Amino acid sequence: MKTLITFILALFASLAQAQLPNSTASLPPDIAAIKKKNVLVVAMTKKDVPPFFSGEGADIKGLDVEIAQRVGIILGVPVEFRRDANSFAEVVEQVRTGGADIAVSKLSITAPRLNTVRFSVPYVKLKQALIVNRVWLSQNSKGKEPYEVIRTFNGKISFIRNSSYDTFARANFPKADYKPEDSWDTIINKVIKGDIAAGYRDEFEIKKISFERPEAAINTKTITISDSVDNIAAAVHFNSTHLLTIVDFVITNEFHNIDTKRLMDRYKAEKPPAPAKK
Amino acid sequence: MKMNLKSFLTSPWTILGSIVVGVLCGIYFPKESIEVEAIGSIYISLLKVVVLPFLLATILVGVISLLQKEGSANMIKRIIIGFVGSMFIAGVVGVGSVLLTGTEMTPDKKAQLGVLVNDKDTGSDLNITLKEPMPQAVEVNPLQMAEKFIPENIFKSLNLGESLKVVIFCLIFGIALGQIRSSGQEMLVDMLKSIQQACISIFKFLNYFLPVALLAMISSQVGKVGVGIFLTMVDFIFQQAIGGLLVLIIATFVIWKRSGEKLVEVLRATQETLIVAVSSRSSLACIPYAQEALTRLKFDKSGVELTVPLSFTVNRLGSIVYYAIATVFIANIYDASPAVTGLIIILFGSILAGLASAGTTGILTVATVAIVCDLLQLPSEAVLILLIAVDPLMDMIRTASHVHGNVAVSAFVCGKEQSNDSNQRLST
Repeated sequence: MKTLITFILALFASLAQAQLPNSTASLPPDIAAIKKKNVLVVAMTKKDVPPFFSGEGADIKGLDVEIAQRVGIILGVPVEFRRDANSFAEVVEQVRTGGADIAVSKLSITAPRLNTVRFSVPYVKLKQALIVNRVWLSQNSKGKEPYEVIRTFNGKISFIRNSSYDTFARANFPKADYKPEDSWDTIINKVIKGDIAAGYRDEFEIKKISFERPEAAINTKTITISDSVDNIAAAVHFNSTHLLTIVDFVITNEFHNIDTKRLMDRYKAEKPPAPAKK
Repeated sequence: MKMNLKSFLTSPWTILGSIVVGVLCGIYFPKESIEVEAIGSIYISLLKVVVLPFLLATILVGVISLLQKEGSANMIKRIIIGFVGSMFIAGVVGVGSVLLTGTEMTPDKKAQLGVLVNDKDTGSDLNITLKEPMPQAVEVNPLQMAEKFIPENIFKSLNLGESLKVVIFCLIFGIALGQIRSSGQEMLVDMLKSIQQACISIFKFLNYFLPVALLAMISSQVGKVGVGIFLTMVDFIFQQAIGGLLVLIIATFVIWKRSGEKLVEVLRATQETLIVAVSSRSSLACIPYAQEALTRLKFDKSGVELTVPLSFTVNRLGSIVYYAIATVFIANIYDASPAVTGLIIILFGSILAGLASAGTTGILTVATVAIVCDLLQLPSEAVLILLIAVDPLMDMIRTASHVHGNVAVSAFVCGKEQSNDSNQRLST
C-alpha cells in the first residue's frame, strides 16, 4: 500500500514537473541551451553602424538591437550584446563556433556565409551601390555610356575589408583593382580625392553620404545597381533551427517593409543634423 | 505730363532702377515676388507675339532687296568673313578674360559649391543594371542632326518659335521671291514692309511697360533662387561680366569706326538695344531695335535688314564667350587647369559649341557646354546644376554681348547707306 501511494505521488510529481514552464524536458535543444544559461548572446561588430546598432551598455540602440530584444522577450531571457568582433566576417564566425547564439549586425547574405550558418528572412532589402569619382568617370568613358563603363569597371575599387562587399566586388567586377580598407570614411575621402575610382557598399550607406558629406557631390557621383541584391538578415548556428523560427516570426511580424527611406528616417531621428554649411 | 511719363518709362535710369528694386524685392519679399512672376511672363509672351512675324517680314524684305542690288556676292563673302572672324574673336575674349581674372579655387570654395550641388540635385543618382538589359540610348544619326535645320512646315515652326528654321525658310523663300519680277511681288514686298512697321510700333508700345515687367521678372527670379548661390558663384559671375564687358568694348569700337560717326552718337543709338537685351534676355526681341540703331547710324538699310536677323540667329557670339569661361571654371574645380594646348582646345571647342547652340535657349544652351567639357574629358554634370541656377543673370550678360557683338558684325558687313545710284559698289 505504502509503495503504491509513493508510486502514485511520484507519478503525479513527475507529471506536474512536466507541466511547469521552467522544465527543459520537451524544449528544442537550441532553446533549451539558451534557457539553461539564461542569456541570449547577440554578436555585433565593435564598430557602430547606425541606425542598425550604436551606443554602449544601457545606451545601445538601433534596429538590430530591437530585433534581438524582441527575440529575448519571446524566449524569456535577458539579452547580452557581445561587441568584440573586428569585422563582419568575425561576427559570423562567432555564431558558427557557438561563441554567440545569434548575429544581428547588419549582415548581408552571401554565398560563403550561406555554407556555414543559417540566415533568417531578410529584414532589410538593399541594393548595391557605388560612389564614383566624377573625373575618373569622364576620363575613362571613351564615348561609352556610364553603365557600360561600370559593367566593365577596371579602376581601383574599395570596400570594407572582410565584409560582404569584399565578396560582391570580386564576383561582380572581375577586372577591377581591389583595395580593401578598414574604414568607410577613408574610402569616401579617397574617392573624393581621386585616389580610388569607386567605393562599393549598399545604397543606404551611399545615400547617407549626401546627408553627411554634402560637399562630396561636386567630385563624386552615386550609382545604384538596380538589378542587385543585398539582403540583410540575422544569422544563427546551423543547428539552431528553432531559434531561427522565432527570429523569422519577429522579423515577419514587426520588422518587414523596412526600406531605405525608413532607414533614413531612423537615422536622422537618432543623429543630430549635421551643422549646415553656409 | 504725358510726354514726361513716356520719357521716364523709357529712360535707361528707370530701367536700371527697376532692376535694382527688383533684386531688393526678391531678397526681402521672396514670397510676394514669386507671386508676381506672371506679370513678367505675360510681357515676354507679348513680345514674342510680334517677334516672329517681324523676323519673317524683315528677312524676306532683306533678302529680296539684296538680290535686286548689285554686289550681293560681295555681301555674302563679307557675311562669312564677319561671322567667322567674330566667332574667333569671341573665343579669344572668352579665354582671355579667364586668363585676365584668374581666380583661385580653394578647397573651401569647392566645398561650398559641393554643398550647393547636393542641395539642388534632388536624388538623381544614376540607376544602372549589371546584367539585366539597360534601355538603349537612342542612336543619334548625324544625318538626323540636319533635320534640325530643315523647315518642313513654316507654320509649325512659327507656332513653336523655332527661330532657326524660320530664318532658313526666309532665306530660301526670299531668294526665290527675289528672282520674280512682277507687280505681285512688289505688292508682297510692300505688305511685308507694312507688317514690319506694325510690329515695330507694337514693340514701341510695349516698351513703356518694360520697367514694371522687368521688376516683376527680376524679383521673382531672385525670390525663387535666393541670393546665396550668387554669392558663392561670385567668381564665375565676375569672369562672365569681364568677358561681356570686353565684347561690348570691342563691338562699340568696331561700330564707331565703321560708322564714322561720333562715339557719343554710337552709344546713344545702341543703348536701347542693350537695355532690351538685358531685360528681355531674348536676342530675337532685340532685332528691331538693332536694325533701328544701325539705320540711325546711316548703314545700308537692306543690308542691315538681312544681316541683323541672320547674325542674331546663327552667329552665337554670346554663347561662345560663355562656354569658354564656363569650361575653364569647371576645369579649375576639378584641379585640371588647362595649359596652352587646353586653352586652344577650349577656344575651338567653344566656337563649335556656339554653332551647336544655334536655335537653343535657356537650359539647353547652358547644357551645350558639355561639348567643350567632353573634349577635355571634364565632368560637367554636377557643375551644370550650378550654372543653370545662376543662368538668369548669365543670360543677361550673354544676350547683351551676343546682341552688341552682332550689331558690330552687321556694321562690318554692311556699308554706309548708298546714294540713289544703286549700281555703286558697296563701300569697303
